Amino acid sequence: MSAVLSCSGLVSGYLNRPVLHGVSLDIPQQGVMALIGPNGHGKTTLLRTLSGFLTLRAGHISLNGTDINRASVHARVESGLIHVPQGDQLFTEMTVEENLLMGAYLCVDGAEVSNRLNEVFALFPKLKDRRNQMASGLSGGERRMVGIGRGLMADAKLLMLDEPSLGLAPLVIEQIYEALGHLRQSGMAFLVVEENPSRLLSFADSLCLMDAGHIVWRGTAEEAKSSGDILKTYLGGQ
Amino acid sequence: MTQLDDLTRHLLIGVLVIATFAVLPVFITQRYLLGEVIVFFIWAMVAMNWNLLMGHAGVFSLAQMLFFAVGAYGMAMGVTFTGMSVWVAIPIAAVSSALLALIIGMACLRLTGAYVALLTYAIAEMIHVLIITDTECFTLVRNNCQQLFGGSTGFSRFDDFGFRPLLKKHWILGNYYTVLAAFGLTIFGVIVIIHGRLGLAFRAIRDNVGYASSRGIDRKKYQVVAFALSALLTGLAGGVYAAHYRFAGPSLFEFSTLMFILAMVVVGGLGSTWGPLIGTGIMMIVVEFSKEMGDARNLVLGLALIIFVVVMPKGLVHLASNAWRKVSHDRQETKADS
Amino acid sequence: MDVVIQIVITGLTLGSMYALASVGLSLIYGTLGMFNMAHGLFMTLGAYVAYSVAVAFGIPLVLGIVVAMAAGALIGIITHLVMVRFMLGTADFGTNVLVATAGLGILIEDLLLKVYGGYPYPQPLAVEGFTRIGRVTVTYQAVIIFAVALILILGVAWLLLKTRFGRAIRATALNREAAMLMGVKADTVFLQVMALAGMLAGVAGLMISTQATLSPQMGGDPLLKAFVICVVAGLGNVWGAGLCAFGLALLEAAIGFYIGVRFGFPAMLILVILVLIWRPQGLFGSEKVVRL
Repeated sequence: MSAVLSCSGLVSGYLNRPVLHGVSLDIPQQGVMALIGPNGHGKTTLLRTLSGFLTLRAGHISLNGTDINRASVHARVESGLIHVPQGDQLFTEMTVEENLLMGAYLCVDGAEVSNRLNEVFALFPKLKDRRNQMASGLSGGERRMVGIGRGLMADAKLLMLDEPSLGLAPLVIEQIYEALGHLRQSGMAFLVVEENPSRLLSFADSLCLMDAGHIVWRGTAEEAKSSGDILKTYLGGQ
Repeated sequence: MTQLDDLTRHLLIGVLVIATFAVLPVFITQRYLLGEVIVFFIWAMVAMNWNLLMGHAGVFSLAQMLFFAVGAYGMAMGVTFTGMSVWVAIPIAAVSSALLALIIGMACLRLTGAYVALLTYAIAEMIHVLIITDTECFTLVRNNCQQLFGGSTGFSRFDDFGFRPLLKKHWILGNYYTVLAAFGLTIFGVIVIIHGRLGLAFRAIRDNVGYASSRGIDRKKYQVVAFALSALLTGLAGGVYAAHYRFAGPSLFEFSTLMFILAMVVVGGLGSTWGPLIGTGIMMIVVEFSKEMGDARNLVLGLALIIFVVVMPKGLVHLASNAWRKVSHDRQETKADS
Repeated sequence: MDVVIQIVITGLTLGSMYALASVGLSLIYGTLGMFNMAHGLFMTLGAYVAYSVAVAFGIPLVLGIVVAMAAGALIGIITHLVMVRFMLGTADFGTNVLVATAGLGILIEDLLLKVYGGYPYPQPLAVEGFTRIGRVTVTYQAVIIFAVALILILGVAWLLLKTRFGRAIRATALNREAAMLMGVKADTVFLQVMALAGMLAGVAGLMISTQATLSPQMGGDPLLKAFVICVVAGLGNVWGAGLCAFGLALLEAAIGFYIGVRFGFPAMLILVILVLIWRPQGLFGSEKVVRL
């Protein structure tokens, strides 16, 4: 299967300190790829590099075969590379609906936008009740739903989720993953970053393990379960 | 060579600078040029204090010319209304300036950043407008109406340092050394603040307010202290200005004067130690030339501010120190090669 | 009663001009995090350009307003393109941009002085005539000022609250990176905000010049008021700025009437400082919780 996004030899980071030391990765057209690994080893940096906030020192990124090495953030969004950042980053003083509408900012077709809005409301019915509430007044779980919903409002080819379970109660994580489970039927590609892989082992189609700025292991969820040593080494025996 | 700590090193440079200026009248004897050097001392005092606040203490004050004016007005009013000696009036004026700064600082420094800049500017402008719109006569001086704060004309022709009868035609030298003394005091004061304990607190606050405050460094308290100290020295500059020119008036509050000093600080190097001195010299020369080219003073000031802030926000000193580092680095490399 | 009417009318006229000035100022601060010290000169420039076009072509006031808006928008755009754009995201942006725009202000003021001279001109676009409410004279010009301010401010409110364009501006102001992740071109939004704020400033300048005269320094006083208004409202709070503009203008008018015009601004400033001691984030500003 061809890759929706492929990158090779990525080197990037902050100021004079590279965080990624040559990351190569192919993300399949469909299904969920999980990127796991301990904190501070470059997972978020990789996403920020892919979405264009950090400039590449070396390496290539191509989206659906088109080179996007030097493309701006909004150009990448335009071509369907959608990044749902860590910690939601909602527009706090806007309503839930306005937040979601911002997700479809690049879509100027009003009917299409309200279609997508209804889809998001169908997925997260809670948000429909809260549509006119300020985002700042939401609970952590609702915020996460707005964050993910906002990503879904865009015309995504690849949706990158940075720690969708971060800071949530187990029950809420359950709800979020349930919704994500519905989404995988849509035929979209997902890259899900988590520090704790326990849930992703059953959820993802393939896994990548990141350590110190390198991808040190990749394979299917079954392979990961059977070759438990690797995961144990890095994540302390899951 | 033994490593000197920052404070000692800068104090030594300060002694050197003052000594150089002290022997300067041996070589320069024209009264006009000595007058220009006196003006340099005065503006450099203001610029150094502003840099202390803005570049080190993190207080973006736009009231610096207010403190200067308080020094000048205080001295002028003391001499005009009470007939006290200039030598008494100047310290009193400088202390008044510091007291005013203390009050303004306690009211405004709960805030930070642009808020402080705007409030201090608004306060200075308010006082400016109150002074020039005052028409009530306080006394009569030479049969002219004299408002308490000088009204729209200000104070002039009061007593100066009194060197004219003493030194006859060399009176300017008396003024020169007096202002140099004030200049020297400012240099040492500013250096001790920047490189001493207070400066250490400022660096801590600038790097991480939260951590600094958790170690017992209260941002507001330290900034108010810096604000008052810099107002004291700026007021001193205002006092000697008034005594040298025998003038104190509302023109001191003009926005372009404020920008002139700001340009000195920015061109020289915000946050450095010696940048403002260099900036003062350069801006005085540049403005002198621009006056000859069809009064383009404000045009040049505006351009200088924009260009330096956009292209070289750390000023000439930073550029020079970078160049120096490069030169010494190259030299080391050639040594290593040979 | 007449006194109250007089104060209200003066306050509303002043408030309209202050609101036009401070809404733009606040919009720029909220979106770019920059305090525009040249805003007063944006106003002055709008007034002068409208004056020049009016003298040359004898246009009516409506067109004059359009011209002033265009001039203000243009200077806003130029400021962004030649200056602010290069400074965004650099260290100490807040301080540096204040210095740079102050430099720009003094530069424009000097250019205006060189082109037009320091002599104060009357604004030909002012409308003559007056009506009376009770025994209080109300000039048509004051009515026009109030109407123009109301229309423009409601227009801006509609733009910001109800349109996709306005949502992008608000989103950028609230969270620049997140807005970029939605596909918003932050640079374009900044440019649009500078143009919009410049437009409001241009009109404000024209309106101010009909109440007094044109001079290169005419922007100084309203800018000072706008500063104080924005600070007390909480920097970047556009609605608060609009409300405070009217509130403080009414206060200024009342103080001016009962105590003396020269004490209007000092009273305003003292009130503002007291408010800030009580609420350092401004009346309408939300307290920012900073994580250490």
